[in-house]
This record gives sequence, structure tokens and C-alpha cells, in this order.
Amino acid sequence: MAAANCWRCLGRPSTQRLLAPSSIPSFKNPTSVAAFTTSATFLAKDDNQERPIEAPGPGERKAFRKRIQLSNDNALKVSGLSELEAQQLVDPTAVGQMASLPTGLVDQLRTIEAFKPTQNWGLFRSPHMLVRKDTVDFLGDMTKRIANKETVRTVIEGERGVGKSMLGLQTMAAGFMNKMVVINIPEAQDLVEARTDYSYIPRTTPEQFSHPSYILKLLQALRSANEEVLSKEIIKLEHIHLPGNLSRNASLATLANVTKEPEFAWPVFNALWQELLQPGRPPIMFTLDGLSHIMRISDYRSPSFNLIHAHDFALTRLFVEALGGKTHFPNGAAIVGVMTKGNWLKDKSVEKALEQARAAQAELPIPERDAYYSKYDERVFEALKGVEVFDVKSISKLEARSLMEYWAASGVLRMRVDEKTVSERWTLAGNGVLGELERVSLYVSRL
Amino acid sequence: MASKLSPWGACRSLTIRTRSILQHAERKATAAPFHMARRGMADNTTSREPPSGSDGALPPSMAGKASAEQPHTSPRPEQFAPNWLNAEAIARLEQVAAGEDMYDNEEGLKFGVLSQLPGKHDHLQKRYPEVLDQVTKLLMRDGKLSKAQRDMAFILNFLRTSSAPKVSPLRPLLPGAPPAHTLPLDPVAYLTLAIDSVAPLLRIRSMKGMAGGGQALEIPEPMAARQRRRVAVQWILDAVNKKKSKGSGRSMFAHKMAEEIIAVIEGRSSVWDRRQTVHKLGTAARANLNHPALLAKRK
Amino acid sequence: MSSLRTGVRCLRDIRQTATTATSNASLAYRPKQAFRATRSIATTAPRSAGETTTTQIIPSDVEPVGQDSSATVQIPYVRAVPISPSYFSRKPVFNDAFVVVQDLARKYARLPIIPKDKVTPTAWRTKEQYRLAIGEHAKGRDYATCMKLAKRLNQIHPDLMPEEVKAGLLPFKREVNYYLNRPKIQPIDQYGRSHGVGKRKSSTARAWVVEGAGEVLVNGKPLSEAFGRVHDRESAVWGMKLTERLDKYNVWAMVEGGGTTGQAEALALAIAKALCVHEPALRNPLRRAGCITRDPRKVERKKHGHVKARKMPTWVKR
Repeated sequence: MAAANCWRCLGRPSTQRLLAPSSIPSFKNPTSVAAFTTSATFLAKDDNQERPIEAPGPGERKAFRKRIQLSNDNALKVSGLSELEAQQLVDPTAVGQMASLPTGLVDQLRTIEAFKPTQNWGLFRSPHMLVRKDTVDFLGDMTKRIANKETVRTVIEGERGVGKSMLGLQTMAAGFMNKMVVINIPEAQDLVEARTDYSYIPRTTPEQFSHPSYILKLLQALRSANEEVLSKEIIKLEHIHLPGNLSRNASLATLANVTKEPEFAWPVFNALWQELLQPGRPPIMFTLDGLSHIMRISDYRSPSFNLIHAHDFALTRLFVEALGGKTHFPNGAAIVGVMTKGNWLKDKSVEKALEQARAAQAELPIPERDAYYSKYDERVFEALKGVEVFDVKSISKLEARSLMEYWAASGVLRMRVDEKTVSERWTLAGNGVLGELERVSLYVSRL
Repeated sequence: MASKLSPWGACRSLTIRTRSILQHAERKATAAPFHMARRGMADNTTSREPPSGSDGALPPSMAGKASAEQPHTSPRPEQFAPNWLNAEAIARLEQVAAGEDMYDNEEGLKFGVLSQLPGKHDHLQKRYPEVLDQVTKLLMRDGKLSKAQRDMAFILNFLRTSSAPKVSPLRPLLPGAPPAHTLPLDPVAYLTLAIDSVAPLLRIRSMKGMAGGGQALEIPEPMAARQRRRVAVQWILDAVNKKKSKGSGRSMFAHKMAEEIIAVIEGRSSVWDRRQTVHKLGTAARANLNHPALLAKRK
Repeated sequence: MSSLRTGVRCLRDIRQTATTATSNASLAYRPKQAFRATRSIATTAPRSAGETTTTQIIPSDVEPVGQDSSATVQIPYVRAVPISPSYFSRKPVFNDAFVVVQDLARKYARLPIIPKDKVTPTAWRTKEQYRLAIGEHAKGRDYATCMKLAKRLNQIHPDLMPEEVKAGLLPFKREVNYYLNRPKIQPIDQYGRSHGVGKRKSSTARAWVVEGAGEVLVNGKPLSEAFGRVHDRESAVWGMKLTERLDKYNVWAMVEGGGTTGQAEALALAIAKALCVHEPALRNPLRRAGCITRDPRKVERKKHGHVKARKMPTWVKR
């Protein structure tokens, strides 16, 4: 209903108003509109019956919280940046460059859940990443050693928000671009906090457990992300215990796809793992984010109602054995555990184990364990034996500048980027902590 | 030390006008002694009108000499009262004449002069835009400002990432509003526009018992900008609280609020109806402004 | 005011008439000498009031100049006369001082004055302080009028300021002119560090500022670890940010007490002060940025009989 008076200015319809058509809605025929009633009863009719607010459906909340948005149509397109190449990630001259992620790689990374909801991808037109010094240092070394069929066992460490998970993502990107088989456990917390179903694996001593639906999901993600590599490889072992018919020369992709049943998820995954360990296969990259979570006793309980140690779960055991150097990889492998500082439980065993690993790496005398602390977890020390610790550091002002210039070009950061502003933001971000730099720059109102 | 004292203020106190730059340059070139204390009106004769009372001739001082005598060659220094004000101003100007800076800005500074002095919005306690500050404080519950600020940041980022709104012609926004597709990249303007557009222009004040027989007399009253914004935000918050919960976690409220703001811009929000209701009431209550009881009171 | 003036006038008239009356028979006494003669009788102080009764009337031993020395010894007054004509008013000291100021103002109205902002800052006694100092309840309005005159007198060009005026204004000045207090100049130490202290709410911050490249350590931690909120981080270095000095100095700070807001803003004050030691000319911009002023607000204390600082217990009928 068109009102007899103007929406905006309370003006009555008049000839002057009719002459100004633009911002004020015109009243072509004011007499045809019934004048509004001024009686109070008109307003009293307003129905006050409040409907109860509906609760969201099951899973809706979490899906909303965990959704990952990788593009923002409002942001400006940044032209002139190259697509990421494998060489760029290991090239020392490329430090400080921004590069866009190719679409195929984005899909792969998305499938294995390498992107995290806290990473501000959703503010930009398309995913771009900064090649930083730590990236080049870490990946350059890793790529070289994998080419020599060595096994790289690394724990990525660093302060909160310094870019550990981003380095993990870059590692996975390098893995995909170097045709490795990339397996990623995006959130180790999910495996120990009794959030998913678990079951006893028969005929295992000491008893082991698996996460059937979690592993099934992981398997499917693994298959679709690594389709290109896996479909070229032919089965070498016998898999008679698996369901379905696997023909003699089926590819590994077929093997990974052989079941849709959670109960067979672990046997299939295990079979695939064994296949990948055969000589002549592509190198494996196994990454896990939130390493400290699987270094403790989980919240699951065994049939005898004892708490299960995280290492008694088949999947974590697989990872831990690989990280601890118990598994032999004939084709070279990268086993990368990413620590988390956002939500971690301080654990003296992990701290001491990493401290010892660091000392061993620097060829310093290895620090002794605290003789008065009796709760050290021997399995943690075993799992972290001989790993390398890679410390992610803050970014330099140069890197910060290239990042901020990209943000400004995207229209997200609305300020001039010069030496002063870069320096200011760099300091506010705790001397160049990447995540803090984002918080400082990408939010209009401060957090 | 950069003092508050402006040299131009000091110059003004001399009640003389310095010569134009061109002449200054000439003077330097000819290396004539630089006399600051000379009335500057001499070189400004062009703009002076001849006295109307006389027969149109030039004033006697100029009539004979203008062509013959060069006015600048024989400067006659004028004496000023030797008080401190003049002394200071003259000292400054002589400093300039000697080729130095008007006042040494660099004194007490190690890294040069500031490119600009801190302005009105550079105060520690007034660093955010006015609207943002007000809305943030209105979002605040139980004095938890930092939580409100986090919500605000989420709201603005949500506005930034959501697609450009389609403005309904039925609910026009403020005149002169920027085009809708540019709004998401300037979330503060987005928010401001939504709130200012939907804010009511007036409120209804009811005067108890003034209408006679114990009835209240309703009088429309204009509101200040800040008041209007407050009412608009309260309405939006009411609408938000009636919305279905979207997700869990910190961003839930912010998400709902941001959606409501988009709804306001697109004209879908129920807040527009509230505004219309108030405006209708206001139009109706206009008649009461001439109510005898009110007029009597006004006297 | 006018009433006071007339009152004072009346007093003066009375004094004059009295003098003339007593010295009627003898040669005329000059009032000033009469004053001097009776100066030994203290009248203003109540302690000595008793004395006056015991003191016998001292005849003036001052011989009037140019008078006949053969005249008989004159007794100036039959009764003790108070030295001050305002003796019987309620505020004799103030009235006297006021009259002095008025006379001076009239006498030196023509002396050249300098603008107010060029006068050496003077610590005047406030009304309350003046009352306390002289023990009289000087009326506010009168005191204000008096101060107006006094301040006008104080504007007289310092080179021409008569001693009389200086003495006349003395009762209205405080003993200590705190405007002459100069803050102690903070040194920059041998390592190039300057030190500043700031407080806000119940937090205290100490900051050491040294030339550098913009690294800030608070309690040994980088800024992002010391303050979780970006707002607080920004507060802490607000002064440096606004004066474009964030990439020119390093800061090492200790903060204690209170919460994050208090700590951050205490730090802002401390850093601003330390920055001013390096570059005194930044004081003005920093003040405009709100970093120099100490915010004196604190949590209000709880009072007995109240539930909180001001909240009263709910009223119960029985």
C-alpha cells in the first residue's frame, strides 16, 4: 500500500514533490489512495502473538560454524599475480611473492580439508598465498630429500597464529604439485574427543580401535583428491578379505572406492596403506594438524571401561609409527605433524620430547627428563623420537608489505600501504605474527 | 619547540602588510637593505579608489611624484612602539629575511616534523567512526565492550562478504546514497546507511492528562541524529532477537544482525513498518501541536 | 559591593571627624601621624584585645613638624582608638586589604599593562584559602571584585610595577607560586633509553623507550601476546602511532595491576611520557592524541550502609 505521506520526510503529497521524482517515491494519483486512518484502534490491531523461535536442525549449527568460503565476489580482482607453481615454493628468490592457487589445486586442498574456517579466505576474490621465507626453507629441504627417497619426519612448531597451519597447507600444495599421495587429518582433536563413533578391531593385541565413519570419510576425500595419482597405480597385493570384487589390475583409486560401508573402512584404508608402501609407488605425504591432541589418553573407553590411549586407535597409530620412524617408506615420504597453540593442553611429555628432538637436531647435549615428574608418557617419547622440529617464525616487514599490498588491491584493506603503515601494523601484530597481522588489518572494528 | 604561536599571528600584530613575494625577490636581487617595518599599503595603490569628493584628480601625494620618483628606492622606515609584541614579530621577520626558516620546527624533534597533527578522530578514546562507536555500545550487554566489538567486527566482515544488496524502490534509502554494488566494500558506510535510512524522524511524546479527561496528549517531537540512530538500532535488535538461531558459536548473533541490516537495505525488514507506524502517528498528532492545553502551557 | 564601599567611606569619615574633634583645641594632627601614634595598640588580634584595656593611653610623642614646640603635650584621643577604621566591621582584615587594593587600582590605573597571557603566572589564593588564612569569612562576591582589581594590578608591566602594588597584592597570593614549579627534566641514560611512568585505573606501567625499529616488548612478551585484544594493542602504542614514531623507537615495558584496558592505557601514558623525553616537541601532538592526560577515574569505594558504592539496600516495610 502506498502511503498518503512520504516515507522519508513526512511531507504531504504536493505538486512540488511530484516534480522531484528521484529520491522520493512519487504519488501519481494521490486522491485514489485512501487516506490513512488516524484512529488508535488501527494501531492496536497489531498482532502481538509472538511465535516461538525455532531451533536449528541437528548438525546445522556445526555446519554453519565450520563452513569454508573461499571467494568473495565483492572483493576486487587482483591482476598481475602469477599462479602458484611447484618451483615457486622452493625458490629463495620467490620469497615475499603472492601467488594465486590454481583451481584444480584449490579443489584438491578443499577436499582434504586443508583450508580452515579461521583463515580469512572468504574475504578475497580467490585464494592467494604468500611465499614466505619459512615456506622456502622447509619445502626446499623437504623436496630435495624426498627426491632421494628419504623420509622426512617433521613437527611444525611456532607461536599462536604464526602460520603453522598455513605452512601445513603449503606443504600439502607442494605434495599435490609434486604428485605425491597426500593424506591429511585436518583436526586431530576429532579423533580423541569422543565425537565420532569407534569400534574394536577384531584379532588385535593389544586391542586396537578404529573410527569407522571418520576413516570412511577420510578415505573418500583421499581418493577424490589423489584420483590422478592413484588411478595410475595398479594393485600389487592380494586383498581377499575385502568386500567387493577387485580385479587383478584394478587401480588404487578403485581400491579406495571399494566400500561405502563404515565397518570396512579401516580394512580398506589399511590395504591402501600397505599398497602405498610397496616399492615403486609415489611418495606419501601424511599430515596431521593438532599433533598435541593425539599425544594423550583419549576420551574414549574400551569395553573394560578403561580410557583408551590415543595411540591405540588404528589411524593415529599409523601416523605415530610413521612419525616415530617405525614404518619404512621405500619411496620416500613426508610425515608432518602440525602443532596447535590455539586449543592445546599443555603436556610435559610432548614439551620434553620436542625439547630433546630440538637439541638432537642442533647437536647439543640432550636435556634430561625431570626426575621428579612421574607422569611422563613413554609412548609420546617413542612417537617423537628422532623427529625434526621446524619453528615457524614471524614474517619480515618486506613480506608483510607484499601481503598488505595484496589486501589493499583486493579492496579489503582501505588504507595507503607505505613504510609507515606497514611498520605500524607489523608492530601491532606482535612483531610480524601473521595471524595477528590479519586480525589487525582485515577487521574494520578491532577485536 | 613548536609553540602555539603562529608567526603569522605575530605578523598580524604589527598591523603592516608585508610586501608581495615578487618585490621581495627583486629586493634581494638588488641587494637593497631589507626593511621590514614599512607600510605595505604603498604597493597596493591599484586597488585604492580615488576620493570621490575631489574632482577626480589623483591624491596630491601621488599626483606629481608617481612618474618621477620610484616609490621603492627610498624606503622610509617607520618606527613602531618598542613593545615586546612588535619586537618578536620583527625578529621573526628579520630571521626570514636572513634566509632562515620562519621558526625552527625541528627543535625538539629527532625524526622530522609530523606530516599532520593528530585530528579530531585521532584521540585515543575516539578512534572509531561515530556511528560504529554508538552501535557497538548499543550491542554491549553487561558492560562487555570487547565482546560487543568482536560482534561488530563480525557484522562488518559479514557485510563485506555477502553479495551486493538489491535496493527496493518501495523503501528508498537516504538521498545521495552510494550505489548498492559499492556498499559491501565499505561496510561502515553500509551500516551507517542502513541505520540512518530506517531511523525515524520523530518520536511521539505523550503528555499525561493534557488532552482532558485524563487522556494523554500525543505530540510529535523531532529527534537529534544520535537519538534517531539509537531508536533504529533498538528496533533492529528487536527484530534480530526474534530471528531463528542460525549457528552456534561466537558469530551467531553477528550473523543474524548482519542479515537484518541487509534486509533493511533491501527493504525486507519489519523495521520499516515500525518506522512507518511512527511516522503515521506523527502526522496524525501534528494537529495536537495547536492544542489549547499545549498553547496555554507554552505561554 | 557599593554598600561595602559606602560603609568603608563612612568609617573613614568618622575617623576623620573624630580626629578633628579631639584635636580641635590643639593644632591639627595629621591623620597619618595619629595612625602612627596609636600603632602600639594592637586591635585586630583578639588576643591583644585584652591588652588594650590595660595599656594606658600613650600620648603621642611625635611632634608635629612645623608646629609650635611650646604647645602643651597633647593627648590625641580620650579613648583608645583602633588602628583600623574597619575595626568594628565584621571583616576588618579583608576590608583593609580591599581598600588598599582599591586605592592602588585607582592610583595606578594609567600604568601600561601587558596582555593576560604574558603575565607571569601567579598562584592566587582562592576564596576558601583566603578565608582560612585570615580567619574571616570574606564574602564571595566582594572577594571576586577584589580579585578582579588585584589581577588588573598584576598586569602592570613588570618594569614599572611599583613596590607598593607588590606589597598590596601580597595578601592575595599564595605562599608558594606553584606555577614556578618546573618538572624535573628526565634524562636519557647512557644507553639512549628514556623512562616514563603511566597509570590508569589500578594499573601501573613503566616504559623504557630507545631508538630502534619498532619492536615492543611488554613484560618480556611481544605486543600480540601481552594484549589479546587488538584494541588494547593499539591503545598501548597509540602515541607512537599518531606521531609516526612507531618504526623509530623500541619499547621495553613493565605493566602491573588492573585489567587489560587499564594496562594498555597506562602503557600509552608511559610511552608518551618517555617519548617526550626524546622529543619534547611531541608533547602537543601527543596531548591532542589523548596520551598525555592521566585519566583520574578509579573505582568508587564502597560505603557502609550501601550495598555497593552508591546502591542502597532495598527498602523493607518492617
